[in-house]
Amino acid sequence: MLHRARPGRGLSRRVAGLVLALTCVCLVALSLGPVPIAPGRLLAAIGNTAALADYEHAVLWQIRLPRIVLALAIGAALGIAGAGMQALLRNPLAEPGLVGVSSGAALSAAAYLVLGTGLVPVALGLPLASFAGAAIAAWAVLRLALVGGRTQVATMLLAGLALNAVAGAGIGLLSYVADDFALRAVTLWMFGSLARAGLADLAVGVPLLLIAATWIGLRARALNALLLGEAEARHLGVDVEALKRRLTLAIVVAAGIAVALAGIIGFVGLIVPHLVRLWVGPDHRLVLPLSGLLGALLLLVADTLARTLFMPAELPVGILTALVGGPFFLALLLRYRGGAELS
Amino acid sequence: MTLRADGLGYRLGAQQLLRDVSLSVGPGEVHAILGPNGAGKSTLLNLLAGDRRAQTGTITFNARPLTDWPLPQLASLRAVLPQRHELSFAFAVEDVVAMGRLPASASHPARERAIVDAALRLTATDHLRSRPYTALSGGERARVQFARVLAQIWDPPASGTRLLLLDEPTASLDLAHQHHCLRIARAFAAQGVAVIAVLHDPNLVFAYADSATLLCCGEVVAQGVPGEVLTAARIERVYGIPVEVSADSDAPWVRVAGNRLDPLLLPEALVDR
Repeated sequence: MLHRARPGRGLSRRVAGLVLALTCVCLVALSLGPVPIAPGRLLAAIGNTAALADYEHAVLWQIRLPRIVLALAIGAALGIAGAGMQALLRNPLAEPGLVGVSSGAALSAAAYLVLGTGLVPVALGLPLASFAGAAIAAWAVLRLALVGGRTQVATMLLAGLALNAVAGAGIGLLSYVADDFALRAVTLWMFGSLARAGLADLAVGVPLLLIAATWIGLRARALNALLLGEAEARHLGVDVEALKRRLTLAIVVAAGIAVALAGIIGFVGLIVPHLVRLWVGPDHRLVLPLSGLLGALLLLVADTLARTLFMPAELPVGILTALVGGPFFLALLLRYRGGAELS
Repeated sequence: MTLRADGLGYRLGAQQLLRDVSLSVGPGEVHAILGPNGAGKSTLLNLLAGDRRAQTGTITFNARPLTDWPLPQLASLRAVLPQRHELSFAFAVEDVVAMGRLPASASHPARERAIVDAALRLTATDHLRSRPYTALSGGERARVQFARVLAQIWDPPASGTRLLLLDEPTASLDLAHQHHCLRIARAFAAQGVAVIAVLHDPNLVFAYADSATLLCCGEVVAQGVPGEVLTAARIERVYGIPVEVSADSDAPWVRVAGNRLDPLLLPEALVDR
């Protein structure tokens, strides 16, 4: 049965399955590209580095591997942050974007691309601007939702909605005054892509992503209790206000760093926890680790498709996830329409 | 005394919801709180549970101010059954009950499972154990939540006495399960647990409570043994409904005096037809 999955009984088997799938996809992702390297030769090179030519080593170590690591880290962080957000709001349709993380980052990045490129070099300025935008937007939304020391979920969603609208208008205004070059940069940034991040970004960003995701991943029992209701969780000994504050911080760090490194990659945070819940039920002891793995898997598949479908041209991976994620989200809405589950 | 509240006052905006409410409950005692809709019963239970802070008055639990208790320690001694249940994710019933064991250390998984099994059996929800919670009826959900709350304070503690706070535990239950639920509360009391339950039915109070607090408009109208608190005259005054209380003081019961009820004012259109 769908919901009988119990930790211990099903977790290790499912983790093993996903890890195996991840390994296979990694191998495929490493071998595909403008310089094809057959998977067999990759495996041979593990024992004998001379099996590959120098330029092939360069392609693997400097281009493909960093990008795969980035896809895995961002996918895992988005999947776990999405599951955390859905638990925080007790709403299966929640996503970090709802508290303004994405739109705040987009507005700030657009402002930088149109007005600030002369001040700070792009490699530093763009990630900084987008993370700052994400953090400020999330802080503003959460501050607005804080009524009498407690976070009101409905107010948070409405404030996020309002912020999304304002940010959309701001980006529109910036695009209107931007020159052609800046306009193109803004447009490209809005579609997330894993091609931009350099090794230095990775060295800072990936550990932060993993720390935030791990922190959320270790809160499974408390998040389960939170689904009972905030008062119920408190009666079970959970310091709910502290949990909500720290969980939000971890989500903002995970989603904000992801946006800073790769732009807006929508729907991963929404779809992945959903698929996992359909698969194993709502228990976070399963949902969190499996969301991390499935998020990593899906984003790596999407990115590999994005960079190989129209070689040598490259499709922004954000377009691909939105193309698949939009209809999926609609299907979810239709499924829950009139149902009590949204409450 | 396990729980003692003195002079509680609670104001929300301009409205004084509770005024100078005191009550106490000791180990082995079942205390009922009753009163008309809007009398402040749930507000009082929220204060006693520490969900809201009273503006005046004090609450002590096991001789220590309630606000001084660290949440995890409090959770191992005290469980709260809320009136409404928010859970909208499709956990299996046994997993919902197992959430009650969150405050316990997870060092004895076999023992934890045994407690969950026992709580399921006690509340007659054993047959639902693998069903998704969201597929249950309102009454079944209430019983599963009751099982979760019982599982939480299942073990006698090393020190201190346990407390069970129940907000309308019988509200969505059928006749048999209403009595089953309160028999369980009595059985826990017999093991030294202090129980406070918000109840609507005076007959259940007579049958299962050792003491009662009758609230009206945020104030205590009467407090003490149920037979002395729930007199016919007092029920008529507080609820505005004529009742008869049986003379049998060992097992009193209340019934509505239908012949003395005021006629309903029906809309004229209905009367004309």
